[in-house]
Amino acid sequence: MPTPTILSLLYQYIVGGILFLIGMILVFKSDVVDLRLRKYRTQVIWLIVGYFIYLAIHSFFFFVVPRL
Amino acid sequence: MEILGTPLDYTIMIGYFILIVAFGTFFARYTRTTKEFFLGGQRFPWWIISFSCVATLVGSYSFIKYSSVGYLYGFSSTQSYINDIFLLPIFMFCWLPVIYFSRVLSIPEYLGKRFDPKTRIVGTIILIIYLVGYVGINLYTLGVAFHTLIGLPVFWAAVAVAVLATIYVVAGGQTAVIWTDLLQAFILLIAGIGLFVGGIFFLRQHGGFWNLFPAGHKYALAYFNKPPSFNFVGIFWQDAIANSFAFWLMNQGIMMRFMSAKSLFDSRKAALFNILVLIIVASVATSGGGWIARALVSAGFLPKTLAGRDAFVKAAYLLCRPGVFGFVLAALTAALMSTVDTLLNAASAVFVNDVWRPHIVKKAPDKHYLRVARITCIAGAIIGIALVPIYMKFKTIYAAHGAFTATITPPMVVAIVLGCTWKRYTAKAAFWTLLGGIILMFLSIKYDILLAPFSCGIAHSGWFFIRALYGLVVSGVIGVVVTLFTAPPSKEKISGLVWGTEKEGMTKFKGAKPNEREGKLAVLRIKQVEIPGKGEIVKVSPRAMQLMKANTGDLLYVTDHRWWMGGLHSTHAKAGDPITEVEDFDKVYVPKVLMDRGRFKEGTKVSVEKIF
Repeated sequence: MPTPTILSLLYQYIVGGILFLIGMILVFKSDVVDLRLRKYRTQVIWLIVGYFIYLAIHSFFFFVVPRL
Repeated sequence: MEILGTPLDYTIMIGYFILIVAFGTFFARYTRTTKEFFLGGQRFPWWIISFSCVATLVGSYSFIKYSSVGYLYGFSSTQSYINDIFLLPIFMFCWLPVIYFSRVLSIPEYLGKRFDPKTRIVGTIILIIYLVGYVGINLYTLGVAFHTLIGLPVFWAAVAVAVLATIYVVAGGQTAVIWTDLLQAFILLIAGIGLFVGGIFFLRQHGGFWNLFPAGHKYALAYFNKPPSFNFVGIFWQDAIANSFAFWLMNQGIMMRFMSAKSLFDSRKAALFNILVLIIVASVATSGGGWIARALVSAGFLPKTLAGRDAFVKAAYLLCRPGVFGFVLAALTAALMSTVDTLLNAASAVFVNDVWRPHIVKKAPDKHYLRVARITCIAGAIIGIALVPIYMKFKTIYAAHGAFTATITPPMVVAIVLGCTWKRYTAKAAFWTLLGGIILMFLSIKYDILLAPFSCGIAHSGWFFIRALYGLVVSGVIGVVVTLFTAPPSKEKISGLVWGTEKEGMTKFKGAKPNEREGKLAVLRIKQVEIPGKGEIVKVSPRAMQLMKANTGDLLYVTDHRWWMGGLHSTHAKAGDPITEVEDFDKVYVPKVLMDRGRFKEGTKVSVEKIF
């Protein structure tokens, strides 16, 4: 099995990121999501944090774990 | 054939069967209407929805399949699970509000409301074939697993599990499904993670897991487009995009699960917790056996010729003492039953809601539809069982259902995503997205040269992976082109059914303008008081109203104060005018109809929450 390159990581988070970004634009332009309210703000923040958690997990298992 | 397990293992497994059926049928008392049978009365908090979804997500084949991939390719076996974050904004903020507020009971009903009856019929046919065929596949895969493990005939293993699952689904409907899935989620996560952790401890004295696990297996993503049998880009389009969207948006069982939440806020929270936490844990639980098997091979405990499909079972049998192996068998069964129960309940909802009610018996009492729902569950299980020998005899039919699922998924996903996010998307476009998309998908099976432009450098033998990308593109193009050449739908037609009109949906759901001011919970005691001529109304003190920031007419949720009751004793109601009797300011007035629905007793301590 060939050793994975960074292309897989970039593809996942750029192509997937575009889809995620489209979704986030719809969230910000939605007529019911009022970011002044804590209940919406918390969930939207966790959504964005979630994207970076996923990115961090995959980056960790790409750059760090195989070298341990 | 080597038969694994001891009498103690079988006893534990049978004990588990009895426990789960008794637990599931206990919830029969909570199922008196079709709303309760299909949506559990919409009363559950986020954590129950979130955990129970894990059990549905992990199918009977998951332990075998992902352990096999983990054994062969390492940590990149988690790729199929850890990728749902990309669709989460659309699911949480476009799809969930639309289905929750429009009060639809099924995906075809949504297609009918959003588009037209013709599209609803196409959706109904597709979903019923998919759901019933899928029941058969799950029963078949479990039968095969149990035949391999303990020598039970495939057919009779499938019959036994189908009968047990059907008993509690028929008795308790969605409530039984949710609560048994909650229990089964814990069992399968504990078994999977336990096997992985146990394996690490076992290997500590034999060189250590980390040293024995090959370096090339430590990447969480596969190589971009090689080998054809397992590559990053194919899995990305097939699993991260097409299958993930299909699971979250077109899976009738999942849709019903999220509609069973007590509020839209809880539905969203359930999805967020599931994808950010539980799916990651589930990916380790299902793949861990394969990773350990690979290290056990390096340490010489398992033969180098070990096949991937045997990795989970052999590792489990080697590491588990008698009795513990029975627990692993129970977890395998849990994974199956929790998928089959959801499918039976979902197939029943589609049949009653999209076939029986609109076309056969139009206006009958709710009890009639509840009886039909229960009969449909039994019929679904019988058809599923009948498919098992057919799948056993004709492997091409088994493969055909897989091909059918792969074929319908991209067009359905495109129709639903465009339907819930794009106001301009028309009924004709949706119909042709489904029909044209399916035709073009079938053409790609016959003439796979059509996949060449999408191959991303994958060798020809691996092009099947990329069919999902092809399907999404061609269905998307049909949807957009037909939309641009047809008249847009009227505002009234799509009100509350598409992104940008959720406010209207919310207002229709409540019957008045929503009140979104953020308040707190009020903890009060129940007092049964008749409120004549006011319908389903509860009354609280002005202080409680102020605490919740509620107005008269707002939607409230009253639930037993004990969180672990999980909303079983609860009800929704509208806020009436505040109580004027000062001595009752620590009470909530509840009429008898709501006392019965919420299963409350006089004096019970309850939490009262404003929904909106």
